[in-house]
Amino acid sequence: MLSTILKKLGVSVATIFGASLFAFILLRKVPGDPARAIAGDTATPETIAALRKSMGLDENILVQYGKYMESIFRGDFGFSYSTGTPVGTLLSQRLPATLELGLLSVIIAIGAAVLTAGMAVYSRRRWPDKALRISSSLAMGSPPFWIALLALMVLSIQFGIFPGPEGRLSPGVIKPPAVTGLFTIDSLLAGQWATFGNALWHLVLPAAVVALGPFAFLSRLYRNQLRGTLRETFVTVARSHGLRRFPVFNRHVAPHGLLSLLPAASLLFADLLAGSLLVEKVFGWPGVGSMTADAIIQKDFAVVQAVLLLAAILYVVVTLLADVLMAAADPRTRVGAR
Amino acid sequence: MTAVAVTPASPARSRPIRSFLKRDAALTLTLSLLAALILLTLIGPFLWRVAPDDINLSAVLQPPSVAHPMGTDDTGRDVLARFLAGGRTSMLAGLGIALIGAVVGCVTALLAGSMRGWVDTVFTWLTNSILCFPAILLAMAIAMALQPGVTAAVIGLSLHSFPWYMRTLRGEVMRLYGQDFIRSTTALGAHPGRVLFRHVFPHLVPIMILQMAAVFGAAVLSLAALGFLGLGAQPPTAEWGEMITEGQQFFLTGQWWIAGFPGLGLLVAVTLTTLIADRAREVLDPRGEFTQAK
Repeated sequence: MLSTILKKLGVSVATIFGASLFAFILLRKVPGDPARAIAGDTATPETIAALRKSMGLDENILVQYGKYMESIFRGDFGFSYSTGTPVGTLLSQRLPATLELGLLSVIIAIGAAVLTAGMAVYSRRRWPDKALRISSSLAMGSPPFWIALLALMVLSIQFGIFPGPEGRLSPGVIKPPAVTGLFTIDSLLAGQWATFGNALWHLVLPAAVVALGPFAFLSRLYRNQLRGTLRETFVTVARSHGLRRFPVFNRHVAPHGLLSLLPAASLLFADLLAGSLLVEKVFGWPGVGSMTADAIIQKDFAVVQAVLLLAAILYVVVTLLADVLMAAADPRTRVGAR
Repeated sequence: MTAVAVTPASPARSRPIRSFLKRDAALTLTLSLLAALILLTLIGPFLWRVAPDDINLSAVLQPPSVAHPMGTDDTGRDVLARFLAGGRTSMLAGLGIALIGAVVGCVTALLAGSMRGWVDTVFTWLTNSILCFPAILLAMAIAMALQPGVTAAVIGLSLHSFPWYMRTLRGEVMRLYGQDFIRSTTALGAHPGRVLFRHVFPHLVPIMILQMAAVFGAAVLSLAALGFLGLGAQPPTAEWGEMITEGQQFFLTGQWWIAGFPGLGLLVAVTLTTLIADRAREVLDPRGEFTQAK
């Protein structure tokens, strides 16, 4: 068990190192000159040279990388010139909004996938399974930003069920006192029910759109798992011992496949930063995704670099956690087990 | 017949595939629909002879009619003409990404799987490092670093697609090298190159086809996402994602057709690809050995 964790940890560290180096070289070497991008097209060569020196761009790329990593470990992610704030501050302002959106969409995706796949497999008729297959294919093929627009048009503007693209709270609603930064949880902690309702009302539609793709993927996976498990001998044994169909399904078959969802769900969670990017942009959600989209259009290298690094670390940490959990839960997946 | 053309197959294989298509109605239907869509976007501009960037200020924001089957946008451009031109951009770029990824991924997989040692370690490390970035984020960063446009988008998305191929194919190459038929070929004195290309490579082809279908669908979507953010095709080049951005503000005020049709095109193209990939997986990979996570 320990050797499994240590080995995976080593690979993770190497991967993060590779990813950070890759992102660094990509953004330092390919674009020509960040200094020129900051100073603008009208800047004199002297200004650019001075700026290059102050940014440390005149040094060896590996020395620059070393300095960059050193400042990262000090918690300094660089300076965003397009907004005039340190990147660390920006991230801490934006991260809770994305986290809140991501968490709810993961909950929606897993919940909906488990329920629909369970019902489709439990039902002996063919149409629920067909319906699931078609709807999940459609959900996988739908461009999230277009679905977001469609949802806004139909549900917010035509029928007024959900708020328009106005961010996390209606204008005029005061933010709950910050504890976690997640407005729904903070308002609950403060006992502000009206604010909680407002925050949740703003959250549901974007979260559902973000959840669409992951839901499709997970429901297919879980459906296949369930169908495979139903053929196992322990199911036949349980049934032949006189257990009814539903308890067998609910107690033995359904939990059996849940574990296999863990690695896939962790991958999807790691990908949420990208998945929510466009949806945040459409809904005017003040999260990391819309910040990244703006930073890229503004050519704000420090922000993009920090987000790339963050995404890579998130991915590696989440997959490592999933691996360790899997190894703990299922001895067959441990290193050297086979 | 057009359906057969989409499935790359050697002559020896084409007969079973043809008879198979006859029996598998669902696959035949989805394949022909996708082929029809691709064909439409490729030859459509010759059939619908309206220039995609022809501005006509006397026919602005017209709803779909006989003269403009998909309506016109805010500068009076014909949406159908732009839909066809944009589809061509999306399809060709998607195919390009799937192909580039397949070639690079296959070469690196063959190198890593046959040479092993440090070559394998370096390639695995490299692909792991690339794969921990979300595809769209990496492509966005590359579009920013280079000049935003279709070329940068294709480079960025290919860079993220080749590790998927490499990862799956490498495992298969390693598995094949342990098989008796490869070992006996080597023992008979066959040149390592001959073993690699005549005996190992043909086994990779079905897996590559499966992955290409998956990569194509994902690439078309990511490309549109980049276009939507203004990092893919640059106006006035028509591309489905870019068209959705242009129609975004009108979408919310009732002129749904400008952004509606390109979105529908994307939905249909990618859903068809998913269905085909699903079915092909059941045929080419019945044991589910190469089913990848994404």
